Amino acid sequence: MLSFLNLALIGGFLAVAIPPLVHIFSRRKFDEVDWAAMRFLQVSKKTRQKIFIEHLLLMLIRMGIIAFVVTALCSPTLTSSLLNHLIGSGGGTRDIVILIDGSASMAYQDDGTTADVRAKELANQVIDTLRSGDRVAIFQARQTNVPLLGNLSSDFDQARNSLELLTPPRGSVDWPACVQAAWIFLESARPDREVVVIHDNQRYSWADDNTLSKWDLLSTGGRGAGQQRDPGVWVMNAATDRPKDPQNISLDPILAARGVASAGREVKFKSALRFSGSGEKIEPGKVKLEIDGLGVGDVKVTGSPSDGVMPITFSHKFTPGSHLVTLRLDPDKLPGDNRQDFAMEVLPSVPILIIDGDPRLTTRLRNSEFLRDALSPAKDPTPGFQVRIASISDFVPNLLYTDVKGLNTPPRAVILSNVSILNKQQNEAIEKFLTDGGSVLVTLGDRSDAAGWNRVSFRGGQGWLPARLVDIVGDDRPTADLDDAPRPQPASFTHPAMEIFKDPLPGGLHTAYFPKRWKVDPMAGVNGATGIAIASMTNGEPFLIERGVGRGRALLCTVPLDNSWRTNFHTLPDYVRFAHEMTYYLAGAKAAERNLAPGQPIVFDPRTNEPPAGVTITVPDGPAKVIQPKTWPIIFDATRDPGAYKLTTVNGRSYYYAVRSDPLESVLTPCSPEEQKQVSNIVSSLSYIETADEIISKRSEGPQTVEIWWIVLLLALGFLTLEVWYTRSLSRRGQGDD
Amino acid sequence: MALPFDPTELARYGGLSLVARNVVEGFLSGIHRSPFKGFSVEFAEHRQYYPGDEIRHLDWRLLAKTDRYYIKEYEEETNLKAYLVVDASGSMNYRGKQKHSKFEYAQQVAASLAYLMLAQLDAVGLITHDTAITNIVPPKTSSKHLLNILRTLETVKPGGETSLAPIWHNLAGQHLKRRGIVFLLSDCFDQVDHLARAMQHLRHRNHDVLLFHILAPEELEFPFKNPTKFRSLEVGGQEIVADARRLREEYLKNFDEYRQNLKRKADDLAIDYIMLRTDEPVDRALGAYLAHRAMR
Repeated sequence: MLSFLNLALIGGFLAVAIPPLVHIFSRRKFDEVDWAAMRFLQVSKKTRQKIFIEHLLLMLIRMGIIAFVVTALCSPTLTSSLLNHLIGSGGGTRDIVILIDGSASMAYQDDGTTADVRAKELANQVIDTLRSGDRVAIFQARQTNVPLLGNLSSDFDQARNSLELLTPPRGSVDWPACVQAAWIFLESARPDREVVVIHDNQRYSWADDNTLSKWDLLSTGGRGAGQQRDPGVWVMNAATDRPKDPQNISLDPILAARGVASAGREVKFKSALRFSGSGEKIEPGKVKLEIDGLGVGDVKVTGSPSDGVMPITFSHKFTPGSHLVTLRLDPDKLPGDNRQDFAMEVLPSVPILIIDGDPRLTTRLRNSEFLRDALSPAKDPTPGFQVRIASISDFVPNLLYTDVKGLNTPPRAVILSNVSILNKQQNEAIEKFLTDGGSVLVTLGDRSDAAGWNRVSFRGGQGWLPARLVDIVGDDRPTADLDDAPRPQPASFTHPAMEIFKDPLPGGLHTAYFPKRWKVDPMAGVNGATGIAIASMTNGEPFLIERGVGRGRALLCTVPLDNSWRTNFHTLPDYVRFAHEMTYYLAGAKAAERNLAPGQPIVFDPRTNEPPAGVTITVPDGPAKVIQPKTWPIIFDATRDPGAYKLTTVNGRSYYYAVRSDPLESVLTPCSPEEQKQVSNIVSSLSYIETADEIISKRSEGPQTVEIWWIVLLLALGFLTLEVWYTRSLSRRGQGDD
Repeated sequence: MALPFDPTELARYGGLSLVARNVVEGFLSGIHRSPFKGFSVEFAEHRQYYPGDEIRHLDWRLLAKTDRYYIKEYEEETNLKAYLVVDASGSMNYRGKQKHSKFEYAQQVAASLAYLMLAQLDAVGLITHDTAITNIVPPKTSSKHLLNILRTLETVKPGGETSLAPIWHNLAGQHLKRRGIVFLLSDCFDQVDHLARAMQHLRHRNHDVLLFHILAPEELEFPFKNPTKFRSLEVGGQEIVADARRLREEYLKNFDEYRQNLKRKADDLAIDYIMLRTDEPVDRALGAYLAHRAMR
């Protein structure tokens, strides 16, 4: 079968039309002669036919030259079983990429050796099968391929030595992405190209539903432009001696009620021990809590192993600064999932800026005083929040970056309380504040100008406001029946920030009534939905609508958080709790940048007046690195390994980041033969083998591929010679023997 | 170094008269003698009497002395009638890259011959034709007659399609009844067999016929190489577009066959066939003819 490696150049075949076009155009250009001896120009039919055939032949030869050159440029390959003997007798022509599973499950140790040690042995066996002239590249497969021998080399000693660079298994692996990367890597290689995958046959990341859909995508669109035939993929199992469905206990990622906390305030955390595998569940060991690497005791684990999940809850009070919360489980057969980390930012108190829509300066008349009292009571000497209130008339853009109280206390969140409308500069300042990672809460009230907000801040969904304001609805007159007023609906509190209000406690949020409120439409954007309702009323109207803007988040509350419109909310115990949780949630927008997914870069800006200077980065189980930034922020993207990352500035200030591990990596269930077949059915060039020798024996069963561009080029040269000879011959004949 | 003198260049200054004079005087002066010996005033030689000779030409004095019969022969003033038949068809207008078209070349040859023969006191007439006979100048010996011939030649403009054979037949049957010498100046682009029959007709009338086949070098060599559109000089609108390089071989073959055939037919009819190339000087062609004539 003939195929092309460089199919992008196939359009060059259009150039074959050049000789006929030149012929057609040249026929329109001729000399003109007044001639007497016309009768002698009347050539015979035979001569006319001869001339026609000569023309045709010459044109065909010229078209052939172009066609052969274009074909050669397209790198044609020929695949046939007849080539097996030919290839077998010559030097090596194979280019192979070995992918070794680098996920945490490779470190599972039962009685024998771990899969990663066995993987090295298998890789060496594969290298042993290579012949002189073959080339090999080796990568450790993670979320992406990590090069051990990053270029195709025929130095097999170098290849064997590169296996010593394998790092301890960590995190998870994205097999379809890694195989695709290997295919792309091999695009510029010789046509006889293969990928050897050495893994532990773990179902997760190889044949789970999500991965199967990725394989499907790869098989239909994973190849590079112009690449017709996918390189063969040989899959070897390095964990053949692993039990069928080994039992394992892992720690779930740590979740915190809030991303940022105030110093001295208790912060609650959640996690769990999760059991996977078959067989009777064994009792887990102790789970230890460490703060900043120092043990602070064991945490309480509830439930029973037979449940499969044993919840963990704990709380801690922090001092100001960056902190690392770590849970450790006693060592077991799979060490990679016995630790979870969480990076926490703790502030002395969270700086908040409230912009009150009331332009009057009389403090006592301001409705926003309700929120101030909730967040920062006047009698509390160490409040969790530092609040500054400014009138809308005093709101200038610079206020968003001015310290609220003390050094380095710019507001983490801004509350726009019953503001009529923002002018253009104010709106642009808010938009930039959001883009930079700040957060904004808008509470609507009787001053809110729907047309103004919609025009300036919503802009048909192109602005930052989560929803379009429609109208004020409801009745707050004294005669109105308050029992009929809508209330927040606990069933709609599915958002993490709202979960705390789900329990119907006395005085809870669900008991607040709102006889009058703003009707808004989060679906009014030009492109559909702009915001998502994270809490609704009992009549179905949105209560809180959230929208992510840049690196920040915007919340819209359809009622004023004060005593207007005859609401009872400000009188309920949950009013304070609600104000605190929403504000912590908003202030924690930046904290999300401290807990990252594998591969997500660390963006570090100390937000102090420190000049750019060396930053030491400590990575999990690796040597510390020093980065010399010229400007802030630093972007560090070598974060594929899960675990704790610590950045230390020259001033000695430390900042923690946590890269979260994938909890499903702890499920060691192997692929069944049916699941293996599912993958090989999707990726037709994929085959499972047990030993490296099978690669050689199976290769000789199927047809082989050789590049034939040089043959085509020789044909082109042959045709060129023929064209020169034929043209000269015709020319000589035309000139006669004079 | 002296510049080569080309008498035909004089046509630019003095018309055909000056050309003819220079051609003839420059190259033929003192060479030409009338090839027709008769019984005129100037004695030439004696020859033996044969029965049938007129008795009045017997040299009685020599008879008395020798008792033998001799006839006196004299160089006579010729009474030859010469007809210059000039083809003025459209095909004669072909010039190619030469200085003169075939017709201009024929004009100069005709003028030179007229000058030469009138100088010999021969009677010279002129006939020009294209699709039909356009001019007839009857033969006369008067020296003033030359101007008449030349003026007629100068006024002729070639054009039109010609079938030569019928015209030559017509000449032989209607106009050239008295025996003489007929100079045919043409490119002879007609069927050779038809031409041969027409020439045979002229021969049948006892004319001595000389065929000056006037051709341009391009017609003999076909030097074209590019794709070329050939436009007919005789038939308006007739065009042939062809790759000249590819056509050349067959053209030359056809043309050579035609020319050889024409020559063979002329030889068979005892007609002098002289091919004249328009890139050759007129005098050389004329000289070659007279030398050939002298040998007869």
